[in-house]
Amino acid sequence: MKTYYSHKTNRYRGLLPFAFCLPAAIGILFTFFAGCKKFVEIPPPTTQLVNTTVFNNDGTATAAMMNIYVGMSSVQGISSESYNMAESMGTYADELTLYDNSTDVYNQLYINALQATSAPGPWVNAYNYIYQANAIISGLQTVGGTSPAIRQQLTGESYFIRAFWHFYLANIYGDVPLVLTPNYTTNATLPRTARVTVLQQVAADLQTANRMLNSNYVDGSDTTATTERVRPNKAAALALLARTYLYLGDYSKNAAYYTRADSAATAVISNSNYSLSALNGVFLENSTEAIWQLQTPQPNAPADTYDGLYFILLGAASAGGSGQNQTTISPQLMAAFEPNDQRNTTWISSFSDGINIYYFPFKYQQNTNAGLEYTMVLRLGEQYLVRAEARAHEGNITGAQQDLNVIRSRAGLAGTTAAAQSALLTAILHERQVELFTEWGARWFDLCRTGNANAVMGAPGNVCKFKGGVWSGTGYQLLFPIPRTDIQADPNLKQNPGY
Amino acid sequence: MYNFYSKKLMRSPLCGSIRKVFLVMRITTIMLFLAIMQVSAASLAQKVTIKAKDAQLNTIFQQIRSQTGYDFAYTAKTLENARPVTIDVKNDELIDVLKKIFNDQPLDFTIQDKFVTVTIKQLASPGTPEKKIAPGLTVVILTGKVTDELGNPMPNVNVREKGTNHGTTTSVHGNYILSVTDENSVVVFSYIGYETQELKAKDITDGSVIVMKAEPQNLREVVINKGYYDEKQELSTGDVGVVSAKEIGEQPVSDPIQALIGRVAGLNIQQTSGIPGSNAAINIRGVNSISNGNDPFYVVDGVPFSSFSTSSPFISAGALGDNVGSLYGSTSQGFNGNGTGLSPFNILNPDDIESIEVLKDADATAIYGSRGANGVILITTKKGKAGDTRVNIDLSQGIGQVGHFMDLLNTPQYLQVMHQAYANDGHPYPNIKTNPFDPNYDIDGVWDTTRNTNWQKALIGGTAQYSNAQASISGGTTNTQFLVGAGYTRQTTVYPGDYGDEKGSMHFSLNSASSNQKFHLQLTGSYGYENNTVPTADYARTAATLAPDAPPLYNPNGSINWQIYNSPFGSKSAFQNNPLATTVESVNQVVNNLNANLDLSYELLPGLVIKSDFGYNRGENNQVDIFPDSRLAPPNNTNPVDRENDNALSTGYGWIIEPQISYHRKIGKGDLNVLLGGTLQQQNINSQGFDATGFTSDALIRDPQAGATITPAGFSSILDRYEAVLARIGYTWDGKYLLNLTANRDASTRFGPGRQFGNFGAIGAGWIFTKEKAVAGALPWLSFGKLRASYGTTGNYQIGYYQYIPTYSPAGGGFVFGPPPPNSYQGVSVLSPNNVSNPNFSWETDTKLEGGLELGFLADRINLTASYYRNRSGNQLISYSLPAITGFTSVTENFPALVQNTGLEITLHTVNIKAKDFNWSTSVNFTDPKNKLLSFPGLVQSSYAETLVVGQSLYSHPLFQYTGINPQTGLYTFKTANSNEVPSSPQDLFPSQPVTQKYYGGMGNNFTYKNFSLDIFIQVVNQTGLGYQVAFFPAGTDQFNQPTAVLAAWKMPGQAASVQRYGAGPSSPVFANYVNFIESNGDIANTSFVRIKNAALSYHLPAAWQKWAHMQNARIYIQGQNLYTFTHYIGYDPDSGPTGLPPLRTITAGVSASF
Repeated sequence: MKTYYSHKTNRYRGLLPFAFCLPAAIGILFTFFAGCKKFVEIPPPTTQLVNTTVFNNDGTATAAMMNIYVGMSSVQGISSESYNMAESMGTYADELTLYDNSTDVYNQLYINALQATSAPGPWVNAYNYIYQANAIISGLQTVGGTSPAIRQQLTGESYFIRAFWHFYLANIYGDVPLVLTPNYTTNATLPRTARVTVLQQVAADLQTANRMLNSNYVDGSDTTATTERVRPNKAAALALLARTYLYLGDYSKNAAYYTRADSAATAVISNSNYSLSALNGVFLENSTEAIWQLQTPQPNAPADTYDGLYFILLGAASAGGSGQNQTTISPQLMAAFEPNDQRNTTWISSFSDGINIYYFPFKYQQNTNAGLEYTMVLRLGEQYLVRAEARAHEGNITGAQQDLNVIRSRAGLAGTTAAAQSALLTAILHERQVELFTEWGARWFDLCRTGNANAVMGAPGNVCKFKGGVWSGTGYQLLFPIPRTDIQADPNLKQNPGY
Repeated sequence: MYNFYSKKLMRSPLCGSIRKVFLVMRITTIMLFLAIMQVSAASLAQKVTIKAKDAQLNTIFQQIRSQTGYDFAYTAKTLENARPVTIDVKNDELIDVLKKIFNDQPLDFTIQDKFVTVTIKQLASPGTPEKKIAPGLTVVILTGKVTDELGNPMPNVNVREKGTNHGTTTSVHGNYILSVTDENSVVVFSYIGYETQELKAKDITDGSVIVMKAEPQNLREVVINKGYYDEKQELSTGDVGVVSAKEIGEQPVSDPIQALIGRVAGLNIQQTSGIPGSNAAINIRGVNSISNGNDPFYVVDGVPFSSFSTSSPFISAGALGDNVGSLYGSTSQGFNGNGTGLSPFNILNPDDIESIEVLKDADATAIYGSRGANGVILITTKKGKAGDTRVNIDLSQGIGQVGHFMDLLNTPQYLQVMHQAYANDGHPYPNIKTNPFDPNYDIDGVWDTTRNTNWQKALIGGTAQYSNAQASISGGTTNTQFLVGAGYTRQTTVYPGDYGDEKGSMHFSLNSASSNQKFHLQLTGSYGYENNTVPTADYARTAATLAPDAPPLYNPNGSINWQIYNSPFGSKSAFQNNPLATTVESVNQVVNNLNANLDLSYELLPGLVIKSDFGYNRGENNQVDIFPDSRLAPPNNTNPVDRENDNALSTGYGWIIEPQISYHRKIGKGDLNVLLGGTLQQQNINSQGFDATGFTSDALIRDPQAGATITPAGFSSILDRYEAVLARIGYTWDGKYLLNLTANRDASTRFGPGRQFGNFGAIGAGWIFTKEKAVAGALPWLSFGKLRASYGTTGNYQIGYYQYIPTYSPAGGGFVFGPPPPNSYQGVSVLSPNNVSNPNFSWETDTKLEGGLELGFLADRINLTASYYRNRSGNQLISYSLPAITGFTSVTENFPALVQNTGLEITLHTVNIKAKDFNWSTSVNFTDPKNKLLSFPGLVQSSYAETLVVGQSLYSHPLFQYTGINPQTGLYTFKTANSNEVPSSPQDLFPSQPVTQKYYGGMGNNFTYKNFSLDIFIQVVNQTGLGYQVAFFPAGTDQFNQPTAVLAAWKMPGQAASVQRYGAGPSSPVFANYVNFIESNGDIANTSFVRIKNAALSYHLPAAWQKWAHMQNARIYIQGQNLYTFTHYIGYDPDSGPTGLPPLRTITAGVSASF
């Protein structure tokens, strides 16, 4: 027995340190590890800010807002949303002749043969701006720390931006997803919302913006007034609201919207801050006509505006040339000008290579960084035409004529002869064509909402055929296709018919 | 008898000057060593202080021994007649003291090394050797010395009397004293890695030297490093490939990774360029991750080493390839792996490396947790060995050249093709006289079409110089060993212009143990400096494509020839693209790197050791790209904006602390090893860069301040942390049943809160069945047999940093090349959102299964290892496509896609001939890898919808399907849905055959004949890759030469051909078909090759010469790398692609010796 015990004891004596030390070691290690849980909780990188940090500080929240404007005035330093919209909608409609057919997307736009794979139009960028606006709205709401005045200003601007881009999406693509939160899990499966509903939401957002925004223009501090008309204010919200009501009137066939358009436009027109400029002064920085402009991108802008940089021809229009020299004003638009229309000479210029004369938009007259012009987004001239059209629908023929003639007289033209409602609407449509050409695609939207697109693009206008394309009678070409990648990625998103 | 020094000096007049040099070197070395190591001379002192009265001689000896470290050898019999000693000395020389002591003794003494042998005075016959065995003694005392084959004393050799527990180990100087029972006792000399020797006591003459022979091919005795623990190869349950210092050392490469090519089964390395410092593409057992990093985890002496290139992510790395993808990890590189920028491993000195271990299976890698999915590569540097202080010197010098040039069109052939091209398209042949605007200078009469230049010879036909100098000092005692090494390497290029790579490095290692061997310290460190300058583009491409009739590069006066001619529009340059123009441009990278590690361990109780490692790493890359105006032809070089100086600094530094507890105990037949450990690791990565332009003069271009405009190119700062607890239990029963359990729980900051922790583990088991009596009896020819299997999980955390948090960053940074876009509005610098974030993503999980069979035949003359592995990588972290309506188009998410890599790896070592003077051994490795995307639910909705196909390899690409040349039109045709021969994406895309290795391997042969040793290594790769056409425009393109393969083009209707007809430039109809062709499977070529990768011949100087010159291990050698490649590939080299500079054929000659 003795031997047995001693033997056993000996065996265990060897194991003893192990028996004691192992649990102790495990204990120590795990204590060490648990204590070090903090070790893997690291601050965000110094070159990046977490969302919550961005929105608890006036300066960084403002910087996030400004990113939207920089993005719109300079799409990755190579273009602007204004030029993109003017160029793509202008070539798609009857405003521009395309010379650069080297790129599929440009050519598809020009001959009205869009493909979902090329993702034409502002879809991707627009929803990115909407995301940014929603992130600001939600960030300012959930994170405290910003001062109330600034929070209100930035929230108002964000509602405005969200409305602005939904407005364009609904006009280009028809029914579109209505994105009202920054939450990607919710948004990734959104279905499309009817166009009228989207526009109603646009109007609601603009009313919110109108309530929250300052009537002055503010500077980088978000509160101090400035003469720089480069951020949306109350008037900008009202101006876009007037346009939205007009479009809603057309799309919903609900005449009540014309009345609202009339009153919103009146609020802008009667605002003493705004008055029509001379033709050659409209697009200058902070012109009296400007309701909202985008600042020249800083730093390293190649020109005051990308419209000026790309539309102004320095040589014969041709393929290639990094965006320059690729479009001219179409013969249809040239033919639309009445004799003696000053806009034909002030807002249009030409280049001659000795053989051909190439006409190009000359609203923006600077193609270098001259510090004279800003990119126009909303201007008073359009408000007169919006109100004229609303009034014509309301039956206020005289009022409509008066507004129309304000625009005609600035262009050096006599008063309109149209007196009947339909004739007047036709006259207004025509006036819009020559007044608002190459401005944010206004012409294409006019053709669509007034129901004139088929007649202009197809028979009898045959613009599409003239451009080398085929206009289908089905009308599917009135809407752009939704990018195919989004159709694939969002199971609830259905393509527009015909694509 | 003790005149050791005087003897030495007496011989010196023979060849005084040379010997003096060696002596000076030796003294210098010792002084240097003393200075560096700050080692007190006390332990080596030969001063003795003794005060004794009538003391026993042996007690006096003991005192002297403890004071001087000198051992005394004597037998009890010898001292029988010794007289008591009375002595009083203070700080006297040992020799003098010994003289005093032995003065009136009947004894004599000799000193050799640190050994005092005491013998009985035998005045009668002074010439006869000592009889050590006195008759009638029951105890025989043996003394002697053990050395290796090169004559180096071997410490710590086990010397044991067989069948007893009498034993000892040799001293630092290789000496031993052993008492054995009688003269017939058998004495066993053993040391790991050396053949065990058994000798009878009576056969051992006194003081004789036993030479231990290194055990050739005894791989199973080798102790392999598995990172946190070591294991004998024989008892390992995992799969670890080892490349030894010898294999690395015999290859003339400056990047240690290049020395691994073809050497390890399952390790796939593609050396994508021959430019010094170029990065290689590396993976272990194929691609596991669809969109994230597939780099192995690298550890240098216990400190993690980043596999990302140190080149700036913000500015161009020129010919080395832009390192754009590495800023936030390898995310954007996808499964193409690394391969661009300066190789991060080039800063390591191959000569400092003792071994490189490649950990492949779950058993070996699971302990690395989330870092182990793509395998682990452990780099261990050299350590000092106990023994005399020794200086090793290795000098070599050599040359490198392009080993294979392409067959390109000469001028007559070129002109013939151009004529045919214009005729085919019905275009008038260009003529400058009729069309002054014509830009086709090569054929329109501006260039002299009677000229014919071999541009390959002019641009990449140069000879690169390769110089290498290495020196190290090492030595130490049983308790403390040290090594200090320094190296210098310089490589130039085959290009014109002043480019190259220069490296200097220092390496040290210090090991120390307390005298009771309980406390151990190991300090290692290496510092590297590299100065790398490459052109902004690889001239190899220009060399392949410049028209053969292009004008001479230089004017007769030596200036660059721009071929200025007078056009109707004034003076114009007809040779703007003179390749020499860019020799004034450069990309210069200066890299500094410090790697240091300290290990401390203490044996608390027998078998129980606590240990901690502390590691630090710091790397820095300062990069400057210079673009002077002199690169432009005079009519175009007036704009100061053209001058550019791009400047970037990238730094990475980090530390690691790894405390561990290990326990080892034998219980009966069982052998238990337990390890518990923790890891804390931090890495900081900072990069910044700016571009300066607008210099008024080329002379000022090195100073960015002289530029008119300085724009930021980018700024980034990353903090990355990792922590883990790891455990291992290894158990061996009776030396034949093996079990190994490993586990790891870790956390990384690359994942969001709540998703940081992951658990990984593996089980490995083995059975050495030849240790079963039944097996051993039945199969006597089978000397070894082991079956092993392992199963476990590891993770992949190579996903980039901070991806789980939604962030904003200042716009304008992070743009590669060119000024940043506008970033301020109303004077406010804007903040731009980076991502929508998914805080919930987690590890990719890799499940590894492996079975292996290891066999040894005919007393281990033939060793065979075969492994089958199956890795399944799931929970794939992919960039999941979001609809743009969310504001962004992708978000990082885990997806249950499953990628499988399976394969068979075979390794064979044979000793073919083992004779006295001639030995021949062979090693072969073979890998047959397969890759397959097993499943990918939701593939259609992912961004991989059009690039991946379930059931196909990840190396398959969706491509058009080439259907041959239309014999009527001579144009390429493709399989199309709508039969119009114009394929369109995506409906006409079909998965191609896998574009990767079918199998690969290597074979090394080692021959030794007397003092000669020859190693030849052959690399074999069977693979498909991109054909040459992707790098060439269609034949007929203006100013663009072609391989002679295009001469086989279609010429007339009805002809069957392999190359489509020529066409005159991009407006020709052939161009669109060409574009479709290179996007089709038609341009997938067989790029298999057999390469004589390395041959090394060395000659060991005869022992007599070495002794005379006081050298050891002296040899002269000649080494060659990339000697010859057998391939049908049309481009320069299958690894570097059609027009990339191929890995150079390098031949060096050198000498190495130790003193």
